[in-house]
Amino acid sequence: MSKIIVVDDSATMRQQVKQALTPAGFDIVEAVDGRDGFNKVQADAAIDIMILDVNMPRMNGIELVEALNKEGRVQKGLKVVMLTTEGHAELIQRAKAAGAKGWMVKPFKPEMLLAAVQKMAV
Amino acid sequence: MTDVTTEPTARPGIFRRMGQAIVLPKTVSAFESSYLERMNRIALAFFYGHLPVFLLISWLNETDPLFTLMLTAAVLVIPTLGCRAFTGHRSKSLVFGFTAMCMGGILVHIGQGPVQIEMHFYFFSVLAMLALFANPMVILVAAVTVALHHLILWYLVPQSVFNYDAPIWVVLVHAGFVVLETFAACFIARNFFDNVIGLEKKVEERTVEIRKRNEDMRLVLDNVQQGLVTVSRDGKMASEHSKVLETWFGAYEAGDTFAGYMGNHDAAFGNWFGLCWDSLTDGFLPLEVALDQLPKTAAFDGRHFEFSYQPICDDAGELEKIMVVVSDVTSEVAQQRAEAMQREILSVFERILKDRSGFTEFFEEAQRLVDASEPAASHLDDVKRFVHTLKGNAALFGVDSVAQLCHEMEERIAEDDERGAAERYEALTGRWQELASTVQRMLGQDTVDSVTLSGDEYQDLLRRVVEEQPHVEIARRLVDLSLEPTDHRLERFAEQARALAERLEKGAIDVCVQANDVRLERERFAPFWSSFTHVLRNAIDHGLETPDDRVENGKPDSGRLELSSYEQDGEVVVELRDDGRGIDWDGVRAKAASLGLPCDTQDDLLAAMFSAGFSTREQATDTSGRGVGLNAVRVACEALGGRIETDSEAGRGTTFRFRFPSDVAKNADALSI
Repeated sequence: MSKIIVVDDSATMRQQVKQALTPAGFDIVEAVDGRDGFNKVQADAAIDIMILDVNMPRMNGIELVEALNKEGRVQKGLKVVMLTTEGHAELIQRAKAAGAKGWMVKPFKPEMLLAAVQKMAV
Repeated sequence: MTDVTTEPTARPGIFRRMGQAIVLPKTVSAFESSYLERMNRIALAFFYGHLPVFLLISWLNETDPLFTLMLTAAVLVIPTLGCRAFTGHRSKSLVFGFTAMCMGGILVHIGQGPVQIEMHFYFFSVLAMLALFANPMVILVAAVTVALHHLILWYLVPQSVFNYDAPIWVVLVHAGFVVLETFAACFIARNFFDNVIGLEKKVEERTVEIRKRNEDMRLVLDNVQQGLVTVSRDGKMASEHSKVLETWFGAYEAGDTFAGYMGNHDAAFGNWFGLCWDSLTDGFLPLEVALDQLPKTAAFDGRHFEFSYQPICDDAGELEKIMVVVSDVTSEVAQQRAEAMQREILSVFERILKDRSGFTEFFEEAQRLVDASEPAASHLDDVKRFVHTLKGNAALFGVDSVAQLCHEMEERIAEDDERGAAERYEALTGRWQELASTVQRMLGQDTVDSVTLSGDEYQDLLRRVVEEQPHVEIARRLVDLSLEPTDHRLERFAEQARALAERLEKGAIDVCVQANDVRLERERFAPFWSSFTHVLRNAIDHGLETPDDRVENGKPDSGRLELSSYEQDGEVVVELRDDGRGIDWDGVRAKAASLGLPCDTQDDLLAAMFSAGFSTREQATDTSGRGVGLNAVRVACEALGGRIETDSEAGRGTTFRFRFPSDVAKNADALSI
């Protein structure tokens, strides 16, 4: 079973992601900002999916993906899903350039997030 | 009663069907015409070719070549003339049916002797060959000719037909084979006609059918009031589309992508659509997720459109293309907006009837706030505060559309989305102007400047005059009365508090108002009162527990708020007391620390709580949580020379006291008359 890290400064959002994924048996790790996310991903090789917010204090989402890309984690199979609000095309483009393959629009539907993660976990 | 019997459509009888098989349909296609012309020419040459062959046979068989020459030449006259006399190619072919059998007769006649029977094979061969005319009638003519010919000759010159004494049953066997072959040849000729000669006709019919179907389809596409087009995996649009799509978004060329096409109209939408499309085809997200993220609504040039998407997959379940359906929902959106506006106007009207001066004041202040909230014109922190205050006031006075737009604008500001914030601001001013024009009509002339006295106040004033109290005393009292009684304000907040508590599932709360005849200057205190809304909201949203939680903690299930004003030690005090859970000082301390604010003493914590951007809430709601409210009330309070006292006890509740120097509150300047 995949290990998933949720990086978001909003506890509510982390809670929502957890609620959507935990019942399906995923192991969820939480990080409260980009720096925290970076440290946790680097410390745990078992993490293979990262769901992250864009706007975060102490290293935003795009910087985080760029940093992990530089460390080679993305190349080693870390799948990245960006959570963003509708209409922010340039943010998604930057996130994709940094190595995020997928993105989802907030507010997401729990069943949609689960479907996305299940596809990635295969 | 009339007996209605419906005649079953009977299958035609066997003879009728045979007749239909033998007689060809009247129309002659161009292909049949040219084919028969060629066949008739070949047939004529074929029969002319008989002449030398017959002469040779006749000479070899010593059966009078001269007579043979004359007989054959005489028979050849028939097709020669027939070809000239008839114009129809089918009629000419009939003549060859007849000619063929005559030739057979001559051959059998000149082939007398040991080969006479073999010469009869000619009939069978040629009868079969006649099927080439693709016309059963030709074969029938030949069969009838040969039958009559044999009967007549057999009767007149028996040895010319059979070189032995053939009885009648032999003749019948002989004829039986001819009939058999005739059936077969007719069948072949008809099939040849239907499936080879008639092919062109079939194609023509199909073409007409397809054209008609295409025309029907075009008619549908031209008249359907929805934009329909299929988009292939690579994002390119199919050439077939409904006409209204062009009317809305202009024409496109083959090979244009839907994202590009829409992008010509609205770059941001096209861009966004392109990204969504990429995620649909890159296969990273499941199809249903990517489909769900495709944009569903858009507004261009004041028109509203709805987009829906129908995936079309191949047999293997792979996405092949997507049918995009665009609907113009401008009128529906306008209708919904008009209805919402109607409801809002109604609620505004009710408020005005209930509390005219309160509404007038809200309205004037809101106008100022709307003007001041322009993101480009002020400092962002100020804009945040203005928008937040406007949101609270608008919600209090039932102007939900404005409150909603303020909320959206706050969201954009919080996300550093300058463009979005500017757009929301534009929408906000637009909405406000719409509303303002209606409200101004309802309010008519201003009533804010009026002074309202209660009966007791009037009696008191009269008594002072009758008692001949000093003028200064009376003047002081008059100035006093020109101020606004706080009970109006506090009652209004009480009403708001009850409604809000209901909305936030805090149950039916008790709200107690004690105004103590305090009056405050209306104009100067307006900013304070409008920011006071935030304190009230905080008390209900953060302070009061849900009825269940209260019961669990041994409290009465309904929460209690006390709103009061009084004078004390040369100060005017406005107080709000709740019996909720009290301030979560640990939460305040942690948040203050995370924001880098001092958090060692109780005063530090209070200062932090009232600082800009401070909120212990993780998620902003449309009620509270942006950390703007308490800061706004502090700014307003300090602007009046006031200060805030906060008492809070865990589990017992919180009291906020706003203390203002009396002279400020009563406007000492007014007394220098």
